[in-house]
Amino acid sequence: MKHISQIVFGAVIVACWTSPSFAVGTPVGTSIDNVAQVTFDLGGTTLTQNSNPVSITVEEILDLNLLAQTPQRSVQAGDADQWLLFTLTNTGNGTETFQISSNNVVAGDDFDPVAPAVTIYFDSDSSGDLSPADIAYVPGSNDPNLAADESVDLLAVYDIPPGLPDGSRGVVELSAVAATGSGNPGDVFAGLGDGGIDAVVGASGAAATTPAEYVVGNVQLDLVKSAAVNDQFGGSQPVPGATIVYTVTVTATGTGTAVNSVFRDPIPANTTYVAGSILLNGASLTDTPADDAGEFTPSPAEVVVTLGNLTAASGAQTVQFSVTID
Amino acid sequence: MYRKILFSIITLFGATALSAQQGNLELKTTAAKQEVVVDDEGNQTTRLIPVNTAVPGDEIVYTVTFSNISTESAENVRVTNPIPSQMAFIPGTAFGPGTDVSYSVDGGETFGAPEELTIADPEAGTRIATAEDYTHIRWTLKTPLDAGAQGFARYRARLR
Repeated sequence: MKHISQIVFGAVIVACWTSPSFAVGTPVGTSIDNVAQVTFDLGGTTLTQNSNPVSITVEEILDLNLLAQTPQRSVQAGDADQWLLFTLTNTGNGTETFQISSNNVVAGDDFDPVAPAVTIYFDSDSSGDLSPADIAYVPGSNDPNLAADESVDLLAVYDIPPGLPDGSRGVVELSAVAATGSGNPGDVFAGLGDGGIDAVVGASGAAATTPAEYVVGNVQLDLVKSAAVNDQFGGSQPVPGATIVYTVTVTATGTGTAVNSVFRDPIPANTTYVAGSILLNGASLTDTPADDAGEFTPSPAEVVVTLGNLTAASGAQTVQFSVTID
Repeated sequence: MYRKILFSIITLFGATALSAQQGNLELKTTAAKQEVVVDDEGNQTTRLIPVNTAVPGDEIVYTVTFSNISTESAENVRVTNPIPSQMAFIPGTAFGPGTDVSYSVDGGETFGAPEELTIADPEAGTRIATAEDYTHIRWTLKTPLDAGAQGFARYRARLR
């Protein structure tokens, strides 16, 4: 039963992504009609009358959210083409084009990441990282045009200068702005909304700038995995119905910090995960996401444990879980 | 100058009278936004500005005015307003002088006080209705509306 565990660090994996739900407003152009009714008795007869209709037309609201999916990423000095993943969501109620830019000179960090020829890509293949299929963003040429509530994943890509000490931080800011206009909430762009209606700047100001950072460290994570079989007859035969307890130790070696380390282990084919069996350093974790470091995702079947920032001083982290053979 | 203003007021009044339904009670609905005006001395005044556009998140004040234009007293007067589906009623804002306010959660079939209204929930059985569940608001006048008398009913809702 071949079985490979995986550790991801410097990347927050899909299962752990925060995906806030934005209640997108009533669509632009909607007409909201209201008619009141009165019922009364007059001279022994019951009568009913309607009021005039009052109508409100919904204007376009310009709003966006720009989320750093990779708020922090471990890199090594001299690495080229290191990506940071962001998600841009149109939280307005109409279709809007957004202009994107990035900034590598940010006050308060230790180094400025170096801009390669292209610094912003679309995550065209939805891989969550930079891959050959990803399309370069060219301002004014392929600005993302998003329907209400639609999102696009963007990658900011920079090189890390050589010779940096461990622990150095380099911040990159990604910015997005609504092409129709931005400014203070409530500002009106007359006639520039969808269908020629007024567009109104929403709570975000129709612009956002979100930072994310690279952290230099020459750190490695080593994984050692073992399996123990307990069959239902008191022995250790891997027969259908037997339980396999997997034990994986994760150890950081070298210098620096492996930030946002996430342990993920797919449940092997022909086995079934034993509910509630995740242990981290001997302590039980629930299968439910977000309530503690552990999580079991049913589809794809996977054990996910958030280990956070690990250094050589953290010592070995031991993850255990059990499956039964189908 | 004065003549011009007088003329425009008459025109406006004429249009309103025409748009209202013919009958014994005249009923008129308006939609407005509340605006806070601060003068040079820092005094705050709130006023209602009629609107015909809004953006999601805006709070709209709906006002229904009614007047008895017949020569008889009207009894059992009740004003009913459906809450538009795109609007979220703001709890506690339904108000009308001399009226009892009740709500419907079944599309205006039946009305009751908030604590009397329940929703059938597939999981929890029944639960007390919340403002989100209200489909209609009703204002019931406590006393007859005499000939020539008028009143109003009002509520606030937020554009979803």
